[in-house]
Amino acid sequence: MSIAPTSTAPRLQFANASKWYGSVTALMDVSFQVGNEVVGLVGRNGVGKTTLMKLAAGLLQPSQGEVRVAGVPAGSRAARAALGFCPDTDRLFESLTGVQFVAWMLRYHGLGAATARRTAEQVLDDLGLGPAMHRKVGTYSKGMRQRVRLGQALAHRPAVVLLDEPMTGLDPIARAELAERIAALPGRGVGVLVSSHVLHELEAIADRVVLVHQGRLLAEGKVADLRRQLPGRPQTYRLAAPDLRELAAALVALPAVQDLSVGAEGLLVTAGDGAAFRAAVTELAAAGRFAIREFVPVGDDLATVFESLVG
Amino acid sequence: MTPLGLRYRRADHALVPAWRRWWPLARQEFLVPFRSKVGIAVFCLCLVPAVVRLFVLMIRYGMVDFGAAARGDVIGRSQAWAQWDSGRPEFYVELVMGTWPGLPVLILLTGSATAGAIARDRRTNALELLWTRGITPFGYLLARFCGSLGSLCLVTVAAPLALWVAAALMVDDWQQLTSTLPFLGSVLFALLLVSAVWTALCLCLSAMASSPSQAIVLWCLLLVGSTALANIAAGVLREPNLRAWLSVWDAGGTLARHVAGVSTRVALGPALGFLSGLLLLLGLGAWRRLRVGEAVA
Repeated sequence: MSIAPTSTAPRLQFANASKWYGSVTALMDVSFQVGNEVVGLVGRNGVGKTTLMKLAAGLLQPSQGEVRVAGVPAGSRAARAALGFCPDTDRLFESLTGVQFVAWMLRYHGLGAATARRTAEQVLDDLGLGPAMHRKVGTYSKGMRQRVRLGQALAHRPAVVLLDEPMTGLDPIARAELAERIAALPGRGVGVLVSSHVLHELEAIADRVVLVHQGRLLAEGKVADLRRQLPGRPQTYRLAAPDLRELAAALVALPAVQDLSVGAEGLLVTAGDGAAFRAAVTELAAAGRFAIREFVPVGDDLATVFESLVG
Repeated sequence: MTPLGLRYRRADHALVPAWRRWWPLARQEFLVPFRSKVGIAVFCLCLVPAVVRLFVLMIRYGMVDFGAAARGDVIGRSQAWAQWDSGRPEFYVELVMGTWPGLPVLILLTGSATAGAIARDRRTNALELLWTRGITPFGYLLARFCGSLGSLCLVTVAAPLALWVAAALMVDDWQQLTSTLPFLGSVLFALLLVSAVWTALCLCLSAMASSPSQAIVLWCLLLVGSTALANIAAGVLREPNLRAWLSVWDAGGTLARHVAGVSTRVALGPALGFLSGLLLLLGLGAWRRLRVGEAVA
C-alpha cells in the first residue's frame, strides 16, 4: 500500500512496513499512524520496538512498505526537519553544557549561533532545568539528562517526536514529571510516539498504545481497553530505598497492598489496584519521606496481555 | 508536499545554508585538544621541538647570549646540517617530517584527538542522533576532517611558519626574508598536504573502528607497524627505498620533501601510489561504515 501525499496526512505513518536483516525478520507488515496525540509503543525487549523507532527516524530503510513523517518519506531532509528523536542512550556529550548541547543540535537544523543559543535556553527553561542548563552534562542526574534529551528533540519545533524508552532509570518523581510534560505535547501541536516495555508507564500519558510482539503489530487501542482483559489481576513491584524497613511500614498501611516482603534486591510489594498503589508511592516520594531509588514492576501484566492476545 | 501542509510549526527565523551546518562540528573537533588539561599538556609537549628550534635561532642570531663558543657551535651545526639552517627548506620540513621528534608528535597529537573522534560517536550512539539532523554522513566526515586538520596544522604548519617569521625578524637585514620567501609557499603546502593525508587516514580508521581505543591502537599500528615492516623488508631485500614505499610515515615524508623541493633520492611515484591506495581502501571502508543504516545497526 502506498500513501497518497495529502494535506491531511498524519504526522507519522507506517504503511505495511517490514524490515528484515538477511533471513531474520525484525518487523513484518506493520501499519499504524500517529496524529496529534501520544501513542505508546509497547513490547518486550527485542521484539522490534527500536527497529520501528529507527525506521521512523529514517535511520533504517524499510525492506518493504513505506514510512512517512509529516507526509514525506522518513529520512528525507524535510522529514528530518519535522522530526525530533530522543534516543534511549544515556551518554550524551558529557563535556558540553546542557545549553551548548541543545544549541549545537539546533545548528544542524540550520539555526544561526545566536538564535540557536537563545532557543536552547528557552526550551531548557521550559523543561525546568533552570540554572543547571549552564553546567556540564557530565554532572547531571538522570532526570536532568532526560530533560536535555527531550529538549534537543523539541527545540527545533518538530511535528512529531520519537521517545525511545524515556522513563528508563528515572525515579518516581522524575517519571511523573516527565509523563506530565509528554502528555502536554499534543496540546502544543506535537505528535508523540513513545516506546516502553512497561505498560503502566504509558497508561497516564498515551491516548493509544500499539503492542508489538515478535516483529508484528499485535494490537492497537486504548490502554484501558487492553487492561480490561486483565480484571482484578494483582501486580508485583520492586522498590529500592536506603530505609527499606520504614518504607515497608508505610506501604503496608496502604489499602492497595496485598503482600509485602523484604529481599536482597529490595522490597517486593504485591498490589491489587496497581494504579492506586503507584499513585500512593509517587505521593510518598514527592512528600520527601523516603528516597526511593527504584520503583519497577516485576513480571508486568503486559506478558499476560500478550499471552491472551496470542492465545 | 512539505511538512508545512500539516501546520508544521516551522521556526520563523532565517536558516543558514546547508553547507554551513557542519561548521559547529568542525569547530568542536578543532577544540578537542584544548578541552582538558591533559589535552593542553599534550599539545604543549608537541610544540617543544619548535620551541627548541626557536631557541637555536635565538642563539644563532644573538638574541640569547651563551657566549661565542655556543654561538659558533650552532653556526657550525647549521652549516653542516641543512635541517638546522633556517635559510633552507629542510629546517622547516624536517621539524615535522624528521622521524624524531616528528613521529612521536604525530602519534601524540592524532592519537589524543583525531583517532577517537568518530569511534567515540559510534560508541556513544551520537551518530544515531546526528543522522536524524540536517547533517549528512559526508558533511559529518568533512566537519571532522576540517576540525582535526586545523588542530594538527597548528603544530605541523603554523609552528614552522612562526619559526620562519621569527627567523626573518631576528636577522638584521632582509636577506633571510628574501632568500627564504621563494620556497616558503611550497614548504607550507607540502606540510599541509601531508597533514591532510594523515588526518584523512586517521579519521578513516576511526570511522571503521568500533571503539576509540581500538581506533587509537589501529592508527599507532599503521604508523609504527608499517615503518617497522618497511625497515625489515628494506634490510632483507637490500632496497632502502622500500622504507619510503611501504611505511605510511616515510611515504608521507617522501611526498612532503618532493613537494617542498627538499633534495631526496627516493622516487615519489611508489610512495604516492602507496598513500593513494591506502587512502582509497580505508576511505571506502569508512564510507561503508558511515552509511546511515550501517552506522546505527
